[in-house]
Amino acid sequence: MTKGHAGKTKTLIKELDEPRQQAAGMKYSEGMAHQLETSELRYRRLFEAAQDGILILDVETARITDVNPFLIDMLEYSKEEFIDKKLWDLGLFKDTQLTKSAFRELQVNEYIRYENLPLITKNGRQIAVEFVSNVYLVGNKRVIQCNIRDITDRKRAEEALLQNQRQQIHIRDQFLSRMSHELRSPLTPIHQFVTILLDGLAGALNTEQREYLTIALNNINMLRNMVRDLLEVTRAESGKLDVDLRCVYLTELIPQILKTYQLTTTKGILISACVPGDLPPIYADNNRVRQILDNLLDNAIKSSPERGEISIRAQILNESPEFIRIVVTDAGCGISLEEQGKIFNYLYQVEDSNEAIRKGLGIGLYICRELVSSHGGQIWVESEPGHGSTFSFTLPIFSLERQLASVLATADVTTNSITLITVEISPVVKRPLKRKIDQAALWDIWNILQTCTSPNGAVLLPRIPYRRIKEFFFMVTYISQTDTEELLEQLRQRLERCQGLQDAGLYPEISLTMLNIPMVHSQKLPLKKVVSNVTRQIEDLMKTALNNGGG
Amino acid sequence: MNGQKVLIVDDDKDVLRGLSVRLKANGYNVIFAADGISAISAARKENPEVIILDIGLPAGDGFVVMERLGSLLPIAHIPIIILTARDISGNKERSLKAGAQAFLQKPVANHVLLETIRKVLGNNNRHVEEDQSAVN
Repeated sequence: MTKGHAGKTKTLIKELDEPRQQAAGMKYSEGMAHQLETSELRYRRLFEAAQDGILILDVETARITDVNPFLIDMLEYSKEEFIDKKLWDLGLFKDTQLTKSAFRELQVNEYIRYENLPLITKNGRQIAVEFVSNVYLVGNKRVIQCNIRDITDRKRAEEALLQNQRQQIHIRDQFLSRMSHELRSPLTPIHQFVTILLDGLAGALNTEQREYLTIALNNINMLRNMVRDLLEVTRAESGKLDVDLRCVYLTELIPQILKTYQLTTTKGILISACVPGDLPPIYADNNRVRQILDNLLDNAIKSSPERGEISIRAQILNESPEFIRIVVTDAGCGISLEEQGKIFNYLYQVEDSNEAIRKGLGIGLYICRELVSSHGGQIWVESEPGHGSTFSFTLPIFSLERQLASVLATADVTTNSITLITVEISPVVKRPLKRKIDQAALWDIWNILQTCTSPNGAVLLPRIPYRRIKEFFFMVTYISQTDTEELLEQLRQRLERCQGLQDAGLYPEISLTMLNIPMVHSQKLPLKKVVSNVTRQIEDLMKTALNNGGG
Repeated sequence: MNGQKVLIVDDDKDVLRGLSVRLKANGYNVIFAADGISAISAARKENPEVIILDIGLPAGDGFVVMERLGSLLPIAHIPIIILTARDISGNKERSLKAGAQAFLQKPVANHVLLETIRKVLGNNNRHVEEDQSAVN
């Protein structure tokens, strides 16, 4: 654009603004009359030449008083067909009523804008337009100017692009899914036979053979984790990492994870854990927590020197007591401050810190971060080069209220009660009070309850150890009413089949309690009140059960 | 362990062999099938106590096999453990809905496999979790 042109445009805009200023109450002076005539002429030129459609309407009647050539082309009606018609008489809009009410809104607000409005042309072509209408005062008459821009091509291009992206993601997902399947398949017999040899099932091994096979197995494990991460990373990107949240006891999970590591760790590394016995349960996905800890432990082992020490600690987060903080500390090579900010990023690898450190895909910590955040927690690192690293992440503590809230929020409109199932474990014969119930048997029941509850919209509540007499133990679960019968039957059968219970001299007693939900919909009670009401009912019941059990 | 009968269904001969060595070493009596049709006939003829079933199979995949087995009354009760290299996402839920007792992904940690078998056979009190992370 030349300088002269630019100046002209500027003036025009300024002049075009004038009617608006008048509408805002500016005084109309004699001297401005001439100016206005000139500007009307210029406006006319702009109107005729505009590369957007312009429609002028009468504010009171919605009748079209003028239309520019561009709009005639766009909508395929002749000028004669436009003039004097009401806006909605042309058949441009799908919904006449809606158009009428939009027009009334425009009359009142003097402005209305649609980013993407579908229109139908005279020949029945569907187009998408940006439709902006303003009320102006011209002379002393109020008119509506509608600026209509055809965005059909743009929309089409955007949609095609989006479609293309979706297709590409789909192809990539399929490829990765197939590839990881293809990688896991040969990995399976490799793993099988290496462990068969290691376990001495094909004859005794000498020390050297055992050592070599252990090295092979460590690398198989690493490869397997990489295959898993490869698939996870695409899910993380598209926000499709699924987490199956349950009530999880770290007091049990962490020792289990450690057991796995103690079997395969080379380099004489010592891994210890400190988890207080009274740590409350968290609300998390068992397998995901294991995956996070696997990643952190793998990294810690990789960066640790021979005979290095690694520790895992879990404690309630001081600053925010609804969370538990899990900490993995190593005495390895450490991470520089600059890199600490980047290690959780996608595809980031620590720059050649140590030849001995095997690099991963650069997605392990990224996946950790995504997994932790899908639990509502945070992950961070504190480290100093040469002085080891401390990785911390937080996970939410199980909360009865939060659980109930999510169940009740989706509860059926007709539901007016939920069922509380109590499983009480008692010894068949009274034994000396000091002896504890077999831990493995209790864990078995916990598992049976876990598997029974998940698909029914049922939730397992934290179990309550009965403290005065240690041989009583409660587990509580609640579900929506519909599946109760089926679930109970399943539960009974599984508990009956559980040999561990019988071996431990225990028997389970299942009881049912109906809990009233103060009608969410009829009484229009806020969810929060309903939740606190039901929570109180459950807590009361738990207390009563405990007291009766003790009596 | 007294020789409880396990039917392993997998079209990968190496996997069959590996599983067989592992299970025999743990006292199980092992029989095989390498496709969907022979899996169903082996289940009818041999009446195993548990079936370890792959999903990707010729002549009727794991889901078809589960559907057929579920409709054959005398053997409908046999517990099924899915052991597949396929994605957990989608397949696990589908398998459990189709009647499988457990879903394990290959390569599975030996102790997880063995404990899962014990668990579905209902003769061991140790805890088994559907562990997908530990290889060994």
